[in-house]
Amino acid sequence: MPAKKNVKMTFEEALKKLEIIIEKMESEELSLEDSLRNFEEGMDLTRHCRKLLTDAEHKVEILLQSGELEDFKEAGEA
Amino acid sequence: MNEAGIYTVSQVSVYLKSLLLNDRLLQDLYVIGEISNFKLHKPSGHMYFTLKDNESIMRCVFFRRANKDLKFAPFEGMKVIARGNLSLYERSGYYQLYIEDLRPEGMGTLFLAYEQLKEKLQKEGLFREENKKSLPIIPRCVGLVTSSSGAAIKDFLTTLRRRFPCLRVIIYPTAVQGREAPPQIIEALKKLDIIEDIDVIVLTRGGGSLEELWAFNDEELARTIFKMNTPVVSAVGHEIDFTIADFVADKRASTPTAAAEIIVPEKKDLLKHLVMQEHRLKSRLKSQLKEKNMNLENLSRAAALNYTREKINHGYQRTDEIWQRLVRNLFYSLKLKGAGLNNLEEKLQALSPLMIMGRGYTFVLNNKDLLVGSVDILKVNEMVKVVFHDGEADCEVKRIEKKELFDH
Repeated sequence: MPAKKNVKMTFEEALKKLEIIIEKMESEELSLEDSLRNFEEGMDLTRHCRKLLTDAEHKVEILLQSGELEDFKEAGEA
Repeated sequence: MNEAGIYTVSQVSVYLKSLLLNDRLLQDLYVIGEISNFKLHKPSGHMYFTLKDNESIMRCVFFRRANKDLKFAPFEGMKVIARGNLSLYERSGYYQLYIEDLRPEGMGTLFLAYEQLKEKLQKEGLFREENKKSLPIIPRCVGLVTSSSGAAIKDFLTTLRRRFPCLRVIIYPTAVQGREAPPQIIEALKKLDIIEDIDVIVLTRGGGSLEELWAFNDEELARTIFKMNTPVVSAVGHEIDFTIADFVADKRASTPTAAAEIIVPEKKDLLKHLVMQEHRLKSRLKSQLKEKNMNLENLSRAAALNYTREKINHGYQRTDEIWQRLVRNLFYSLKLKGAGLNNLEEKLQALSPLMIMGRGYTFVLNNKDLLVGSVDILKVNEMVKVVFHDGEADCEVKRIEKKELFDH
């Protein structure tokens, strides 16, 4: 399934692929089967993009000399 | 010194040298002049040249020890102010200026150094557009090299969070001014460059004087930025400040806030864009389905039409056949019965009422010219018209007698 293939994609990779699919659908005369398959993949990609936009968390860390990461307390933060 | 008052060359030299070395003015001397015959002795790093004006020349030595921190490269004809001490070089008998510090006359040292480094790196292609890496639309993680105190980090993080609320940032705090800054920044860049998730690195500090921003004009830092695998955004100082780091970075932002704006889009814009793409995708499929459906309808309509036409054609043919048969039959019967036509005419004429009346029949009309078909509608003394085949007569009804002539 395309969904599995897309899991590791970055937002722009997914968006680019999505745009290619849309352009293909808009410019080429595809068979209904091909269109449906492209459509499904396109929808998977939009879901993936949306997930990337909404799932990430805001996290600010400091890279220490030792190579370890430590949370960064921003000014004005409790 | 011997008794005859005759000195060896060396003795004179030593004596002269001691005179020079004991002169306070000559031991800390500023000399202005133009550089000529400039030679950099490559293995040692010492510089040799003469300073001259319209009348005189003076030999100068600028040892590696003293020139290693020189920020610009001296060149032929350059007007400089040299500080040093005058001494004698016994081997050749020349007096020379042993330079401790050199600065360009007429413009700031830093400015000149900046211009020179800029030109040098530009020639090497470090600022070329085609060498610049493009930034990701959304970085998975942002590397940040800056001072952990100060306005730059606060401005950057605030703007970043406003535009894109969920983003991972890894900060590598460094000094951003002074001698220790360039090596620290270089190390920070190299360390962040190898963290896989980091898609973009921002190098930033707030505004300051040329001296304060000087760390970002470091040649080695410029070369480090150039060699990075991760795209680097440089945001040093204010809009008007340009540093070498800005030129070599993949993208220059005028301020820390602008850097945050460059590296992430507004989240809501992206969502809008995504919704648009989704809409395109759906509407394309929809229109295709509609199209296919229409094609199907057209096809079936065409099929139905063909069927009808076939039927009509078939009907035409049948009609033609029948017509031909009719014509043939008619023709046949006409031909057959052609002789009987005259008889037929006679028969028709015989049926004409006038012919009947010719045999003595009449009919009666009342005063409204209506045919009187029965005695029932007649009245005594009523005037009627009797019509003959050759004329008519007005008559008065005198008597009415009903007779049952025919049995109904």
